[in-house]
Parts: sequence; C-alpha cells; structure tokens
Amino acid sequence: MRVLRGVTIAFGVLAALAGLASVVTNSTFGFALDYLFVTLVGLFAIAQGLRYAGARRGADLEFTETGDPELRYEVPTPGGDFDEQVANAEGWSFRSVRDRDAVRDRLREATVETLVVHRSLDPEEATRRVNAGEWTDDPDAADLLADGTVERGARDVLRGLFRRESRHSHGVRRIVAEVDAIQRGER
Amino acid sequence: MSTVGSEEGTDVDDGTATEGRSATARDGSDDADDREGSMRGGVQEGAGDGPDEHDGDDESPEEAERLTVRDVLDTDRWVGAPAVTLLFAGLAIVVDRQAGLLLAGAVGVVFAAYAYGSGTPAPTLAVERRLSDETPGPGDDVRVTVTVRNEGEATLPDLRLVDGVPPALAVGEGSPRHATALRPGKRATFSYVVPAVRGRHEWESMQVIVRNAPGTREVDATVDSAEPTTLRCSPDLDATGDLPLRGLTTQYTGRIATDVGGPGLEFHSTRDYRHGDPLNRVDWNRMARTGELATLDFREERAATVVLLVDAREEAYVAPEPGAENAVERSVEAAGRSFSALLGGGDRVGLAALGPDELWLAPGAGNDHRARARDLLASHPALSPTPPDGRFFPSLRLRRLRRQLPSDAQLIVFSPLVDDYVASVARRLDAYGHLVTVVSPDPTAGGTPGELLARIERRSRISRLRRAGLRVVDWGDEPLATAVAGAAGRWSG
Repeated sequence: MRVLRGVTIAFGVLAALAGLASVVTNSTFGFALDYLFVTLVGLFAIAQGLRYAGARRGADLEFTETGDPELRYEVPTPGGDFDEQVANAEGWSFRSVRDRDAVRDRLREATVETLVVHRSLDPEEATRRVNAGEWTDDPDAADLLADGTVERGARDVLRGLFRRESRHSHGVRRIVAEVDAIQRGER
Repeated sequence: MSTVGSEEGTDVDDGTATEGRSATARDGSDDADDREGSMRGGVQEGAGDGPDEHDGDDESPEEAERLTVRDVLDTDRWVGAPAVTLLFAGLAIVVDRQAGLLLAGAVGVVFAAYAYGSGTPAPTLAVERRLSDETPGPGDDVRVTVTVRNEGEATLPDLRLVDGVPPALAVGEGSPRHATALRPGKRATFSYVVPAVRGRHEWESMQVIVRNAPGTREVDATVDSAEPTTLRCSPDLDATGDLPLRGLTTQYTGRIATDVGGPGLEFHSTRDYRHGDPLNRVDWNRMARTGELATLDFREERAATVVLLVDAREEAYVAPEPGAENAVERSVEAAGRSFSALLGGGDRVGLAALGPDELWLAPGAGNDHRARARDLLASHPALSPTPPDGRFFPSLRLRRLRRQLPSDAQLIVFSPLVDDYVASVARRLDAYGHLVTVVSPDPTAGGTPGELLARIERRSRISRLRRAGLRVVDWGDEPLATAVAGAAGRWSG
C-alpha cells in the first residue's frame, strides 16, 4: 500500500512538473493535443473528482469530545458488578466459566444464610437443601444451585424452550427473587 | 476584571454598540441560554477596555500561560472540496468544451484554497469566574458568572467553552457551555446556577475548543482562571430525634439514664433520709402517712463519650440511582445531625472516618468543638462528596482508631453496609468493649438481579449485626429521626 502511494505521488509530481515545463517551453513533448487526448484528460479529471467526492462521503468528521459538566459525578449502584458477572457468564470461555462459578457461589452463600435466618435451619441443613434443590418449589431457581439435575414438569421444559433469556440468567433471576421473597416473609 | 454588566445585555465599556453574539454550540447549549432570558441569554461581547477602565483587571502575560493545549485536530470538514474543481473541469472538457463550466471549476479552487490555506488558531484567553455566594448553605442556589477575554492579537472565529464544574455539583439552571466568536480584546460572559451541596468544591480548568474560520483545524485546550474558584458549603448541625445510646461512661450529667439512684427525672427508688439530702427529694407523702422521713432517688443521667465513625471508603460511595445522594453524603449528613443532638444533650462527641484520608476529632464539648466539627464535616478530604483517590489500609486504620478511641467511648458507625468490612469492624469494636450502634443509609435498588442481590446481602449483614447484639438503624428514604425512632422501638435496652 505504501509502495502504491509512493508511486502515485511520484507520478503526480512528475505530471505537474511536465505540465509546468510544457507551459514554460511552449512544447507538448510529442503529444498531439487532439480531441482524444483532451477528452481523456477530461475523463481523468472526472474520475478524480468522483474519487474525491467519494472520499467526502465516507469521511468521518473529527471533533473534540467534551464531558458532561452539568451532571454530578455518578457513583455505582450496589450489585452492578454482579449483573456484569452474570452477563459475562454466558459461553464457554475460561472467563465465562470462572464468572459462572463466582455467580453460583455468591448466590449459594446468600441463599444459605437466608435459610438459616428466616427458616431457622442450621447451616448444614440449609446447605443440604440447597444442594438437593429442596429449598424452593421453583425448579428454575433450584436447578442452578443444585448438585444434580432438578426434575421439571413437561410444562416447565416447554416454557424453557420458548424463553428468550438464557437458562443461566433466568435461573439467577429466579433465585434472587425467591430469596428476596423468603427474606420479606412472602414464602 | 470588573464585573461586566453584560448579563443585562448592555455594553459597559466604551459605549460601542456591540451586538451580543451567540454561536451555536454542538450540544445545543444555547437553547438553555435562551431560556434563561436576558440574565444569561447567550454571550454578550463587550468592547475591549483598557486596564485603566477595568478595575482589578490583571492582563499580565501570566494569564496567557494558564492555557494548556491538549490536542490539535484536522476536522476533515473540507475533505472533497477539490472534487468541485475536478468535476467541473472534467465536464467542461468532455461536454463539448464548455468554457463556462471550466470557469465554475475555479470556484472549487477558491474553496480549496480557503480551506487548506487557513492556519491553526493560537488562542490566548483570560478567564474570570465569580460566585454569587462562596459559602452557601446546603441546597442554596449559587450563580456562577464566567467572563472570558481574548487576550491575543487574532480573532477567534469559533470559540467553544465548557466550564469545569466540580464533579459533586450539578447544574440547576443555565448551562456551563458557551459558544461565541471573540475579536482581540473582547470578552464574553455567561452564567449558570448550581445548587450547593456539602463540601469544599474547587472548579476545574475550563475546556476551550477553538477552530479556524473554515473549521479545518481545531485546538483543544484548557484554561485556568487567574484565581482558583472555591465553593465551601457547611452542613447544618440541626439536632434530630434522640439517638438512644447504650450504657453510660463519664460522670458528667447528661442524657444517659443509668441504673444508679440519685438526682434525675425518672423515679428509681426510695431510701431512708440522710442528713444533707435536698428538701425537694424528701418523700413528703410518706412523711404525711407514716411520719418517717424518706428520700426519693431518681435514675441518674450521665453523659456519654461518643465517637461518630463515618465509612468513607471508596466502596461506600454508592447510590440507588445516578445523580442521587451517595451513601457517604447521607452518612455525613446523619453524623452532623447526631453530633449536634448528642452535644446538645451534654455528651462528649468525637468524629472519625474509615477511609484513605485520616480524620480524627477527639471527643469534646462546647461551642468551639461544635465549630471545629462543622468545619471538618464541611471540608475535610476524608468526607469528600466524591470518592477518594488514595489507598485504604484497613488493618492499619483500625489499629490506629483503637489507639485513638477512649476506652469508655461508644461508637455510632455510619455505613451503607454494602460489604462485610464495616460489619466486621463494628463487631470487633463491640467485642473490645465499645458499645456500637450502626446507622446505615440504604443505597440499594431492586431493579436488576444484581441490585436485588445486593439488597438481600445487606439485609443479611444487618440481621447478623443484630443477632450479635448491635443496634442497627436501617435508614431508607424516611427522615433520620423517623428511622431512629422506628429502630429504637425494637431495642430493648
């Protein structure tokens, strides 16, 4: 690309010098300025003009970005990091797997503690129920924290097939909603 | 620089009828200016006034040195201008040798020469910023008037200004942006209003964007005002509802009801009269019934030594929504009110912070102490409304705090409890024998799974602290006094 650019520049400079010399010496250097030659020059000028016009259409205007001094400094909302982790947990990359494990551990800890306080279970029993998927009636919530697979009805399976949300994100949302309901005494 | 009367749209200098000019800013900030009406309606360009006409106007070269160029850009606004020439010339040749078309191509040459022949602007500006009140109370509106003067020799045909409003302040009315053109020696004035919030707020450099006339070159620079602009907003130390404190510590009369009989208000017991007992404590009813002298004892009230500990770590700078008061701001507000209430009740009160910047005010009493606390709450960097930059060493800070705390001090810890650190600090200090109460402004939202989980975890922390015997005031949107009263209802002691 660089070579082509150099050749183009050299050709342009030579052409400009030749033109200048042609004017100064009043000579055409053997070129006959006939109709064909002049037409070719005109077509070349049009082609170049179109090239410039095309460059203008595709050009990105450069400008300086300014901040938002009208607004206050924004601080994060608690839990934003977890949402980010859940979003990153999709897929099978090393980072995704690591994030998925971190999400699961944090949910498990919150669930066990809630069961201990609000269901008056000892930590071992609370952990057992979470591992066995017995802590909630919601199979989507239970499945994500369970060691094995939680049985689902045909209706749940069918509903899962038509869900736009990923199974992991849906499970996270269901667990959080379920634990919140337990803490508020609604379960 | 003198105060320019251009807010009224008048020319105050040499009477030259210069028309106020307002270029269109990219962000449309002039719309906001227009709404402001004549008080801040766009820019008013005053005629250049000599130093003798301008009281206090410092036009020394130092002002020019306050401008720092950050970047120079080619805007690419005229890319394609040669196409006009080439297309017209080409068509003139091809389409039957039209001389008129060839001449039209010359227009393109002029445009291209105009675009590429203009140089890079070299701005030399002086900025002055004035506040209507430099020490307002929280919530007061402060009008900021900015005057920019072209100190250079060249006209600045396209000048865009973005004032450096402190990060903790939001603009209420008007706009801190302005666009104008300035001839040499001319100046432009614009203004906006910021509602004051607690803290010491210093204005940052103004961003200046200057373009040459065709707009092909753009200079991005910053310029500082000759004098730093600082707004200092101190909190009101209004007393709030009583914070019921645990136990007693010092021997001075105060608000803590004890189990010791003596002078006071609440009945405690009766005992045999002893010589020297004050007559107003003699049980005259019993004297009338039985003829025996007895003395009434009341619960003695003694003063407490209380240290207010504010969680000001970076983690504590959280809020339920963008632009809302963050948890540290709420904590400082609560600490200020508690300070006043406790001091008013005869207690000795101190102040400390958990954060990278150390803050320690030993417990004390009196008006001087109150003034000192107000000063610290207003402007100490540890309690800044924006997150700290420094590194926080938790163990070191806790060790130092333990050394500073009087052995009999009670603690009121203000923290959003968004992580386990402060909860563990509170429990450790409680275990060391300091009676701890936690006041926790709630910064959680419940919109997303993450936000709801953060709320769940915070509830669990509060629950854990309560199970450990600590008092916790979970402070939501209600006034602090209401939250304290609500929490006090469930406290047994």
